[in-house]
Amino acid sequence: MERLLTKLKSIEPNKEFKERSRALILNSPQSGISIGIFNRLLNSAQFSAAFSLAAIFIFLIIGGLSMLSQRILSPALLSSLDPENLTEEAASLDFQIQLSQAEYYEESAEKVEIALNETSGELKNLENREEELNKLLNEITL
Amino acid sequence: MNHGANANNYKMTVTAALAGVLFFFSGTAFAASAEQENLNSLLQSIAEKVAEISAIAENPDLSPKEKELEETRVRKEVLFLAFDLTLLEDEGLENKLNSLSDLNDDQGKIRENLLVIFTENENAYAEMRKRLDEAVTLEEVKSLANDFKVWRSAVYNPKVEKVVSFILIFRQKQILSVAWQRLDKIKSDLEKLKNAGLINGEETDGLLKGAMLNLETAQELNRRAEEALSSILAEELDPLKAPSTGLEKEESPASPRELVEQSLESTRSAYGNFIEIAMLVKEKLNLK
Repeated sequence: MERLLTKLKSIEPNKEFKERSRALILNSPQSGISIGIFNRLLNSAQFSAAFSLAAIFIFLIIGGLSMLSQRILSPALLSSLDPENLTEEAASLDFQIQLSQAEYYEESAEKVEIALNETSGELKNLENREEELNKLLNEITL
Repeated sequence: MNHGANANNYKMTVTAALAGVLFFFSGTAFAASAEQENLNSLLQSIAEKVAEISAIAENPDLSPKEKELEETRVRKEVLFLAFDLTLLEDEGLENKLNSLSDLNDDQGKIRENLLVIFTENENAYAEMRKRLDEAVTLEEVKSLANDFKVWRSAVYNPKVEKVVSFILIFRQKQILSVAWQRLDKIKSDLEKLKNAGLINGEETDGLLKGAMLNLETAQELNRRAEEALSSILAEELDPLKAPSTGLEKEESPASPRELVEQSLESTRSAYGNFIEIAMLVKEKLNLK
């Protein structure tokens, strides 16, 4: 028994076995302190992500209605229903009609007729000569 | 997504259309104001010369012969000015007619008929101008003034009335187009507010309906104005072939000008409705 034990003690692995085993050990994933830190960091990141997601959901739920209202009451919409804008638009359209000079041609026809009546000597025959002339002569003071 | 894109396109179209029309109008307005200034200035010069005629007649320092010479000179000046004014008015109206764009076939035909007026006027101008240059005596000047007055009353003024009516009718169409787009935009925005539960629409619906009725009336009056003008022009060109519009049954049918003015009034009322709607919405949403 004692001799057997002495013999077993002298047994050594061969060189090829030693190299293969070493390579196997060195290529296997490391464990220990570094793996622990990595896991903790990963856990922490996962927690942050979950927290952020939760915050976003809460924000969306609480702020959703407000954003919806803001979207509905956008400046584009309010401008179409803004009394001041509408008044300005109506005024500018109406203004264009005034610019059509329709009124000018009516007045011009009347005044030139008075002037030609006076030039031809016809106006002096009219009873309302003064009134007619005043219509034209008001032009000078305008 | 597609709906959103359509809505955005709609907004852009409405905004662009409004901006385009306002830009067109502002450009026309700028040109019109300079032209208007010249016309007003000529009219004022005519009034000043007419005042001179009275002053000469009442001047005790002048002999009858001197008065006659002075009066002849000043009266002739009035005639020159009245001539210049008429030519300037003519030129301005012709330019306005030519500057109208996007006319349909019927409107194009009306414009062609109206443009003939200016060619017809040229002959009358040439003849009267010759007489004016040659006029020496007071009686010749007075006689020409009378003829010019008669021509303006019988020929020129009615023609001007038609041209002005056509320009008004056409511009009113553009105004109506802007007003309809505004109505559609307001209708769509009110719908959004109703869907969001921000307004119930009971009060705005009546006003919206009123605006729509006003615009429909304005549209119809504008159509009648165009029809009346076409009828007048057709009758002038060929009295036997003038189309029947039904207007002749009325005792005194409204003139194209009156119809287009009524149309404008209805459009103005529609804008009154728009403003009332806007104020109601503002109140409901508690907006400052």
